[in-house]
Amino acid sequence: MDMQQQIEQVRTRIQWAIAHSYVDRYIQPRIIDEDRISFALSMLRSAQVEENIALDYVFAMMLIQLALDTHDEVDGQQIMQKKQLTVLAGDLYSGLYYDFLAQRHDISLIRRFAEAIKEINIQKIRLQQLSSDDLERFHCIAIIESALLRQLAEHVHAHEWGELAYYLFALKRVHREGAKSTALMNYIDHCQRKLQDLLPFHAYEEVKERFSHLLV
Amino acid sequence: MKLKAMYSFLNGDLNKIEEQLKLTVQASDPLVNEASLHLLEAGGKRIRPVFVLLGGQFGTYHFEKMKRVAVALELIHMASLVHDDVIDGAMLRRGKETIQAKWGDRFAMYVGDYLFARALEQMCEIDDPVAHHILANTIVEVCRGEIEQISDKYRFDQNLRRYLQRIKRKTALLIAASCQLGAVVAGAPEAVHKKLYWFGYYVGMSFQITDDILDFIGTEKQLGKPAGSDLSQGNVTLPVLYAMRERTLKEQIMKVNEHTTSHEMAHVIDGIKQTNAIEKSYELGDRYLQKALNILQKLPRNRAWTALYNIAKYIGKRKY
Repeated sequence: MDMQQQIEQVRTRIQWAIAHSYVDRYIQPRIIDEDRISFALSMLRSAQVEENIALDYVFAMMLIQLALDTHDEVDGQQIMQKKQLTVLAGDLYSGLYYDFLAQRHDISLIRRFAEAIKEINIQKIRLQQLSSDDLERFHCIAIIESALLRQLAEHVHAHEWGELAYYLFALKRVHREGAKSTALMNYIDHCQRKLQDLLPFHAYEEVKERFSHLLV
Repeated sequence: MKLKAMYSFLNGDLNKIEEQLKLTVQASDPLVNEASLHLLEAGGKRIRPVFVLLGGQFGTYHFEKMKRVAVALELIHMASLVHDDVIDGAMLRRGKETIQAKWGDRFAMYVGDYLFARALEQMCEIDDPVAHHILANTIVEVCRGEIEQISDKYRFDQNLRRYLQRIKRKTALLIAASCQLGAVVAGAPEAVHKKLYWFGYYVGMSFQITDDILDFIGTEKQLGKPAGSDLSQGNVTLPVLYAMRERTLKEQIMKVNEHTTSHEMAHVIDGIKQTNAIEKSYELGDRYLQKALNILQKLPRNRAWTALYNIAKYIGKRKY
C-alpha cells in the first residue's frame, strides 16, 4: 500500500470505530488529522515496523487524539445535550483505544500512550494558568501536540523522530493560532531553525513535502 | 452490622490502597494535585477496591497486584465521576464542591482524562491480557451505557428490557469487573472468576434498582437531592415503568418534561408512590439479590465469602 492508501485505511477504520448513530446526530463530524497519520506512518516505516502493525499503532494513537480533541470542545456555553455527548464521546474513544490495544495484548504501548495522555492533560491545565505572553506556553503547546507521537517514537526506538514531532507539531499549532506576537514570531523562528537541522537527516520525502509550508 | 465491619480483616490493605491512591494522583502541576486530592478527600465507600480484594481471596492473594487493580478501578470510577459532574452540571458531590463548579468544565475534563491515564498506568503493572481485556471492555460498555441514558431521557415508550440493559452498563458491569478482576489477577480458575463476575453483576443490578427506588421514597436529607430527581431529569427508572401500567398515571407521567414544575412533579411522584410500583421494584431487586446469593453458594467458603454474603444482604436492606 502506498502512503495515501494507508492514510485512507486508518481514516476509514477510525470512522467505522467511532460511528454512533445517536452521538453523530449531536456532535460535529470529527476532524481526523492526516498530517499526524502521515507523520506516524513515515516514522514507523523508517523504524521498519511491519505494515499491519504500523496501521494498528496509528489507529490506536489517532483514537486517543480524537478523544483528547473532543474533550477540548467541551465548554459551558454548549447546549446541555451537546455538551453531555461531547464528554461521553471523548470517553468512549479513550475506552476504544484501550480496548483495541488490550485485544492486541500490547500492554507496553498502552503504558506509553497512558504516559502521553497524562503529560498532555497536565500541560493543558498548565496552559490555562499561563498568561498569553509567557514563553512557557510554547513548551506546553509542543508537548500537547507531540506527546503521543513522541511516545510512539520511543516505543519503536525512533528517538530522533520524537524531537522532530516536538518542533513540527508545535509549529503547526502556533501557525494555526493567528495573532503573532514578537514572542511567537521568535518561537516560530526557533522551531524553523531546529527543523532545518533535523529534517534533511531524518525524515522521508513525504514528511518534507507535507510540512514544507511550515518552513517558509 | 455496619458495612465496613463486614470486611474489617481488609482494613490494613485498604489503608495501603488509600495511600497508593494519594501517591498515584500526584502530578508535577500543583493545581492538578490540588484537584486530585480534593476528590480523594471527598471520600467514598471505596467499594470497588473492596470487591477487588475480596475477589482476590479466591486465588493466590498477592497484595501488590491487588493494589494495582484496586487503585486502577477506583481511579477510573473517580474519573467518571468528574466527567459525570460536567454532564449533570452538578455543583456538589458528597457535600463538597465539584471540580467543574470550582474550576470549570474544561478543567474538569482534563482532570478526568489525567486520572484515567493514571489508572491505566497502574493497570499496566499487571501483565495479564485477560485482566486488561475485561477492564477495557467494561470501560467501553459503561460509556455506551451513559450515552444510552442520555438518549433515553424522557422516552416513556421504553420497555423493562431497555431499562435493565441500561443499569447493567451504568452500574452492574463495573462491580462485576471489580469482583472478577481480583480473582483473575490472583490466578483463580476461570470457573471461579466467572462466578464472581455474575455475583458482582447481580449485586450491581440489585444495588441500582434499590437506588432508583430510594430516589422516590428517600428524604431530601438522606438523598442529598430532592426526591424524584431522576424523573425530573428525564430518567425513566423501574418504579416509573411499573407505575405506567396504570393508564391514568401513565398519561400524567408522559407529560413530564424539562419544564415540569416542582409542584407538578410532586403530584406525579405521589401518584407513583400510591401504586404498587415501589413494591414491584423491590421484588425485582430482591430477585437479583437472590441470584447473587445463589451464585455465592457455588463458591468455596472462606472469610471473603462471608464478607460478600453480608455485603449482598446489606445492599438489599439499605435505606439510603
